[in-house]
Amino acid sequence: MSGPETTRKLTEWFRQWRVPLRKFLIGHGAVPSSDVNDVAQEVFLRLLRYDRAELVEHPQAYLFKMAANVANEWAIRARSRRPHESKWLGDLLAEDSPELDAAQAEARAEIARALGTLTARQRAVLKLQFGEGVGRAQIAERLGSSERIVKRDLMKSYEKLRAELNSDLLRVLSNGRE
Amino acid sequence: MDANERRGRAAAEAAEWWVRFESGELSRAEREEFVDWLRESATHVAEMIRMAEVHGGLERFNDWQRVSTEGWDAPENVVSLDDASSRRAREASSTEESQRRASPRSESRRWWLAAAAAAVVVVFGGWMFFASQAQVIETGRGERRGVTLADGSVIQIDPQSRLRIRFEKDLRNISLERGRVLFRVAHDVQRPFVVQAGVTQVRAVGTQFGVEQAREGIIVTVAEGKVMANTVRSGGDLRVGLRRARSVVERRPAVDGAERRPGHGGEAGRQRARARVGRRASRVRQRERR
Repeated sequence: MSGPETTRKLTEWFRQWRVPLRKFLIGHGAVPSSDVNDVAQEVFLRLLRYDRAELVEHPQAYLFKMAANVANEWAIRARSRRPHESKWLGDLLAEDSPELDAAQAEARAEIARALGTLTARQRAVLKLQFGEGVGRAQIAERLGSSERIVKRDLMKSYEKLRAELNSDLLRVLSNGRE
Repeated sequence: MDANERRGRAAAEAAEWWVRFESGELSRAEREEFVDWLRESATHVAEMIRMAEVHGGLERFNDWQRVSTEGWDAPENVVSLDDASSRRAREASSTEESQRRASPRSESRRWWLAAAAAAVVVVFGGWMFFASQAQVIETGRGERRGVTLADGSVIQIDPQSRLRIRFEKDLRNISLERGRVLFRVAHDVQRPFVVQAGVTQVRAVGTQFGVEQAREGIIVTVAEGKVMANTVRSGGDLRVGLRRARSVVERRPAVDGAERRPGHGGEAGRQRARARVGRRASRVRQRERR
């Protein structure tokens, strides 16, 4: 599965979806984790107001752009309520580089722990996909499996990790550095 | 189907959608299906956001070496038993779990106690009496002061603040009468560090946090700690553990009068606190009646 046509399509897809997603992940650190449901509620309402046909063109892009916008709006509102707060804590947190490093190390440790609750093959799939950037077809080949099974492993893994992982720790990894 | 089941199913569906997206373009029919699914429920939207977080975490995870994949080719793999659901099952038998009620907002908040021990901030209400001899610090308008206390703790005092410092043999007591102070508490397990503002007490063991006496109540901002998820409503008890390196926002729903009597012991009932961990400000807000 290669060729200029496919490559162009993948690039297009990437630009349409992954960029808004990346922006959302980096930016939404401003929204406390337990606000996700409130953000989701607001995004949900906006989705309803939008023209369905328009949404269908690039649904993921719309989803994450809206989520990023809502998160930004909330962060601005929160900051304006307490204008001195950000600076105050900013000073505090600025001194705490070792704290941030420690928090990120903890987040990684937590992910490692959560990965431990998956099956070995699920871990192998994730390791190949995220650790080595291997595509799904190759993963299936290397594990002597089928793409369908790899897909199912991924689905189950994501579902499990979502239950296992604490959102707040995950957000630490998106913060600052890198 | 209760809220938990709905969310569980939404999570499974979101995982499936995510995997479908990962591989590339979706057909128009699939995209229509996705949009319709999204517009069915805010829970679906929320689960997609959570899925994005998980995915983001995995992408940023760079410690794959330590992840063992041994036994991947075995026919049936054994999954570790110490996962969230078995822990939940263990905890469910305790009174704490059984008394937990769903918050007014439809989605229940899940709380996690991280495995590693960390600093915990406990806020509880009660009467406190001031000792007569104490060091008083007061700042004027526009005056900011940094003070190092006898135990090595450092406090930064905002303008127009006033506090009393009373260190005893087994207690380090600060009473914030007015304004805002940021504390960096020196570790000393023998002597708890307690900050009191009004009828609220903040107890710290090696954390950084700030307490503010505002007109609308007491605001405690924590920059370090771990979150524990308990609010005991009666008597103004609010127990919060804070997650490290980030501050916590805790917003309590409107409290009815009867339960705000200071000094009232016992538990009228527990109430799920809404705690959020934010990158910037987090505060524990507690309404108090004077």
